[in-house]
Amino acid sequence: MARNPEIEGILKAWWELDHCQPTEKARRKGTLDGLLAQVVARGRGAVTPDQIQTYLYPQYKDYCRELRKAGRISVQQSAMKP
Amino acid sequence: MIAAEPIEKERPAVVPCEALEAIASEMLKGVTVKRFGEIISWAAAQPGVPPNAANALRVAGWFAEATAFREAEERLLSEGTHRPCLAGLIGAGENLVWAAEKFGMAASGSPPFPTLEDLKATLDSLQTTFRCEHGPKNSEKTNELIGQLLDGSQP
Repeated sequence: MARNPEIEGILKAWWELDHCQPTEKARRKGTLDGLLAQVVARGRGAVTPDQIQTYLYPQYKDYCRELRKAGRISVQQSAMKP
Repeated sequence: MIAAEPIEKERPAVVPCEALEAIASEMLKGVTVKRFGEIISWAAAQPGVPPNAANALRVAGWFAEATAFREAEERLLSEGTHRPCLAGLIGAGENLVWAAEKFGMAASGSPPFPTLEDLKATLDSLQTTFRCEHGPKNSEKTNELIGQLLDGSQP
């Protein structure tokens, strides 16, 4: 599904925070917070990071399904190789 | 008489420690998150284990549970058990943050052990999931504004 690059970047950073190694969590959170802060600044503080994530959550769930599906396909393809 | 080949040439190309790591990983497949948590809790509760070491062990067990939650999240949503599982995980995480701040957390930041900041970041991401999935939604006005900010139409 085509999304604008900024939304794609936020969804990617969100996924990486949720699914990275425990020792990478703080760093990944910093990346996501930075991207959300750019949107907040553009809105001159009229919206919060929490509200942006609530807005994007349905897209984030779709994004997670797409990645899981792609992961399953690549696993199945590698299993079929002789 | 044929001379024996030097032993060095008969050694496998795989570095022995990597081979052992792979075997250990296969064995762990049979250990459930619950079983792992029981082992960790037992070790943390042993007499003589300092509180900061017990915290490090409990945090390791909690991260195993948090990772399993993310892997099973879609199934938990379809089964209707997402909310109680997530609430339990958040509550346990908050207790661990409190204990780590009060008594410390051994090996914090020495790989493969996470830091207190890693623990807090994970707890925060779980709280975000709880709010987005089970909490109140934005007003239409807020959604409209965010939509404009993200599609570039807002100056």
